[in-house]
Amino acid sequence: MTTFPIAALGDLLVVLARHEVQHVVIGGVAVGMHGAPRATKDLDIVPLSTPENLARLWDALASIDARPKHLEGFRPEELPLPWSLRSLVEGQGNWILETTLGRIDVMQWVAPFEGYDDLIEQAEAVEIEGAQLPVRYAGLHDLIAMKQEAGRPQDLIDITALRLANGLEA
Amino acid sequence: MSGTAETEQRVRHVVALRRALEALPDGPERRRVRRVERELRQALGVGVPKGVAARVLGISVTALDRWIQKGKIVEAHRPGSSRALVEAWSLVQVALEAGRAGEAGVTRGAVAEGIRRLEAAGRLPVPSRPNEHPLILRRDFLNSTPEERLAEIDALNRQLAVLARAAWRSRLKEAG
Repeated sequence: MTTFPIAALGDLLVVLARHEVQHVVIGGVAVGMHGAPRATKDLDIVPLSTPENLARLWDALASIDARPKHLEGFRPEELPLPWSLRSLVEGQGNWILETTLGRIDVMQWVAPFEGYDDLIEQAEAVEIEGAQLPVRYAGLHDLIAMKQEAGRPQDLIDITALRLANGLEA
Repeated sequence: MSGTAETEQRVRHVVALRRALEALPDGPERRRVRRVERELRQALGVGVPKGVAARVLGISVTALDRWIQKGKIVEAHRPGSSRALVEAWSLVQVALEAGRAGEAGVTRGAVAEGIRRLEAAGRLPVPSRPNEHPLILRRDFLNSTPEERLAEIDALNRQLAVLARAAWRSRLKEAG
């Protein structure tokens, strides 16, 4: 399998949409959607956590050869849960995955939210070519709240950039 | 209640709710409290007046300004206003940690101790600006559609992929 560290974002989003995976995009892509476009190493999504939707997500990920990223000190087979549909459904965890289209992070828990249900209320949508479903991305204030909790240097820069672009800060 | 008193109360409520969340187990109660905390935090906006921030922290405005000058507490400005505010999240974080220090028996310099603890944990919000001019960011946002922004991010990533691929090949070549 040929994997590449930089995500082909548009192609990843089309794969998810074609499999009718309900999800909210967060992270760098959502930051860009709210006015601070920058390159990002991955696509971060929060999927709807129903077994049916996670099964569709599993199929979508299988079609692009998804497997857990080799984390420092851990090989995929050493992860606490094996990479499987069952782990995805029952584990309710976060997965950092490598695919043939680059990295995708599947986040089922992201502070300060409980998951998809919390984020979908304020989510916005954008149509993309090649997919019937629109891509939904986290609302501005939800995104800022996530970035505040994460608190890494890039998150703090993103918060300021988002506020500047949206006329909330000078 | 005056505007500043209301703002001060909001900050205190956010701090209190975040403390309460630490003790709440996962479940519907925690979810409800989290939601209220997020809404209050959003209502605080970008920043709060320095007088409010100083009262919340229990220090003088002069002392607050010294922390700001040292880059330990973040300043913010609303568009169209020259009035300097204290960035709300920065204030909440420092107030939370200063409160914990106070409860742990620190009677003098709780703010300093709170800042020290946040720094040690790598959680102290510091002044951070993007490398793009604010007016350009704002103009580009106003003059673009979500579709165009998504296309721009995709294009940026594709360019980055080309560069990364070239660097990768170069490294492989060097490694023989």
